[in-house]
Amino acid sequence: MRILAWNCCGLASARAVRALLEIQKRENPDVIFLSESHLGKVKAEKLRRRVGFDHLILHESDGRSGGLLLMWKKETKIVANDFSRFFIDVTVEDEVSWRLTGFYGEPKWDKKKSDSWVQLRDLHGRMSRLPTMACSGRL
Amino acid sequence: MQAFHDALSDCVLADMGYEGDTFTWQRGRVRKCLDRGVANGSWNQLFPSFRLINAEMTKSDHRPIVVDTEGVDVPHVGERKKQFEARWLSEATVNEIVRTAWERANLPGAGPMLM
Repeated sequence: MRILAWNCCGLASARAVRALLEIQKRENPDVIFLSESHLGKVKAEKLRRRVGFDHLILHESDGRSGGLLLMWKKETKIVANDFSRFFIDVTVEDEVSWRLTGFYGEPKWDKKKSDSWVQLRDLHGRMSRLPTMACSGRL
Repeated sequence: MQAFHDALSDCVLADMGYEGDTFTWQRGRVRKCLDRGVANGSWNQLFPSFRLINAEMTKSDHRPIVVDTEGVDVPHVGERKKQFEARWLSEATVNEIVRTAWERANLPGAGPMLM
């Protein structure tokens, strides 16, 4: 399985979507995790159709910043665990199930960044027995 | 940075390393490694041949990172395949050339042998 994680700095423009499609063509991922996606529900669904994926989990953008999006193909069995502005956490159901977390450590305000680390710690304290991989922007 | 390392250590998650450019973020002349993958020991055992690649920068000031759980390489356009010609074996000097190349590759600081 190939997982692409990208802090895309906004996917609202046509140019940004073209860049994602170019990366998708080059890297051929089965799962895409995007941070700072700057997308609401409608645009995220539209993007999912453009990349030809079947499922998504979205934490909507707060105005012009933030926003997390995880998309995957139907051949990959993924079950959502939890999500927030800092992470999207799922279980990949394979012969041996494992845990995948797309994580985002917020920039600019140290207080918020330490909040995101507290969340990372809480999150992985809960289900640490599963094989776990987390990929991130801004750690 | 210490808070981040403490959080990782509490979760028993370790940096997965990378292939490609060290820096995943660039703004002007400032470059940093901000994007990465971390995994616990049982994930590493499940996917012992995984690869994590800091991919080519496109549009964003962050590189995409790509994790392949099986370690499969996607050949890039224009990349040369490494090949071995069977008829090289019939050359009298082949043993010496290979031995010299291996010895050079084992020297500290020397590059790997390419055939």
